[in-house]
Amino acid sequence: MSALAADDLHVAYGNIRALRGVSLSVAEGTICAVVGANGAGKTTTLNAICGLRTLTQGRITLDGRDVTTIPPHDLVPLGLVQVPEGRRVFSRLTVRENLSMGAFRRRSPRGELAEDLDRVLGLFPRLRERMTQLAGTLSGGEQQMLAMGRALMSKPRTLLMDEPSMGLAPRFVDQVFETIVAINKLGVTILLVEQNAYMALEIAQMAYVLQSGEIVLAGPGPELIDSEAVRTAYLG
Amino acid sequence: MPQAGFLQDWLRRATAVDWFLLALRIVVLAVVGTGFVAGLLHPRYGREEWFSFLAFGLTIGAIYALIALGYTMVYGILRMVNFAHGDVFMFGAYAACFSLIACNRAGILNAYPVISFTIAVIVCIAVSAGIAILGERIAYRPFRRGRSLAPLISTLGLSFVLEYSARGMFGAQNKSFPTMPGIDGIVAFAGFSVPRVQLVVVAAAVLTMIVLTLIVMRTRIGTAMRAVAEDKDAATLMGINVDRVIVFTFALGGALAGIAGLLYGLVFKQISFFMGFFLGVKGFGAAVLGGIGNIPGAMLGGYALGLVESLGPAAFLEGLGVTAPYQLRDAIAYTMLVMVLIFRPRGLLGERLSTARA
Repeated sequence: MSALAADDLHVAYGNIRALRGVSLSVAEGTICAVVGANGAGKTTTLNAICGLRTLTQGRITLDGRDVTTIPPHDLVPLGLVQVPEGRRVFSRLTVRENLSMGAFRRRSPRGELAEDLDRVLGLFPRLRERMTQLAGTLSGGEQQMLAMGRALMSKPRTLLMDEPSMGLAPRFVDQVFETIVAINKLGVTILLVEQNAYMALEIAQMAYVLQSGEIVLAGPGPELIDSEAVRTAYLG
Repeated sequence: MPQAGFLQDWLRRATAVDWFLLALRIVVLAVVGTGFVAGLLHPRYGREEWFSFLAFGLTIGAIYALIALGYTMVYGILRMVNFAHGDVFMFGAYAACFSLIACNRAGILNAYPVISFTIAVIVCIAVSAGIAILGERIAYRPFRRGRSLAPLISTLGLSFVLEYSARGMFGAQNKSFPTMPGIDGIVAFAGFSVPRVQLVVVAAAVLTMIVLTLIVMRTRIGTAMRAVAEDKDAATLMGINVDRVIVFTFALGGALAGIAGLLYGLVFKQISFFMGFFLGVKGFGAAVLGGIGNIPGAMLGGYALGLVESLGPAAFLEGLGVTAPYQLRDAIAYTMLVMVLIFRPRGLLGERLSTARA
């Protein structure tokens, strides 16, 4: 069964049709990548899945359950969380407060939360030294780690990631992709949207190429790297 | 940094408005300076009078600060001004007034003043927070989507609705506030004396602000408030119900306004249906002065406004030979507001908008 499925999504901004029937399916426990040029509709796809964009048509299923009409904040307890584009950490909150906002909807006992915090900090050791620092004072790479850590604090089963490598120094980009694989190994299903197509396709079991709001190509990530269509359509 | 270059640059670019503003600054500073010096040369007040001006400034400043906090918290989250906030304050004052009257009728006001005071606090918080929540529901939420000025107009409308319903229900004349036993009289120490009620008000306001700070900085919902103020979409993605946080913010601001209403009644002994307008404008001014959207700024702005209003007339208007300086305290307050905004448009503690919205 697929962990997350989008069926025939249509989104319009005024007269501009941003998504024109996007369908995709993410198998449980896998990494799925959506690649495409700027403005192809990658972010819109993620936001539509999260409920931040209103669908004019389409259906979203999470673990077999129809979640199309569920408000965005109520998707988090169902195990779906997004690491947004541009990180969007709360810059005037401390690192610790940011992480606690990830666990906002959890009703778990304190001890369990502390254990999860420890696990997340194990993935991102640099955050441990900066717990009382304001998130706005972190470097871009550290903010990306914080954004991922914050999302993990909600204990997601499915994680959506929007351009996690955007604007990062090359050594951080490698680290981010390594972390994504590590998170996936913990059993989290991942839907990844990336401009950095090579790296995303390399780690993706399944990938989709998005062009002008439509899926033009689908297949296992590594295969798509060599495909003629990806080169001409996107990689140039 | 070459100073001369800056001056030349300024001279080249300065428009008529710049020259006017420069002249305005010089004139205001000159007036204040002369008045201040003249006042020093012919001192009219002794230490005790100055102390009582100071004490009154802190008292009224505390009330301004409590009102300003409501404006600033709502602005911090919605980037909109709630013009009905002053009337939430007014309803708080009436609620406190009626609950004290009821306590008096029941005969417990004089026997158990602390219990009566507690009842009044609870009632005015409940009424004001309730009206604030209602206001959010009918005058804000329908217009939140889309960037328009509709909420400004709708809260202005709500303000009139509240004022004139108060007038209809409680009458157009001033209503005298019940006297609380135990807070009348004068406290004297070290050669100074201060009305006991002012001490009570200052202490109550400080306590309220400490509780508020703890709520905002230490609790889950307070952290969520700060998160929503910074980035609503990111907060939504963390599972935070933004609507609920906004309602909580309105309720919190309303509660503070309610307490301010009670304290106002204790100090001034009479309340009216129209007082929400004046105090609302003062509170809003204090919020802008401190840097709107900034919580410590609203506290500082409230006290600053109260102190300037209370000390200003004696400090420099008397020296200038103004015959009725205390009639001009509002003029002083607003002149200072304008000056602060000219010198420092973001307010005393406000951040530059560019960094605030980054």
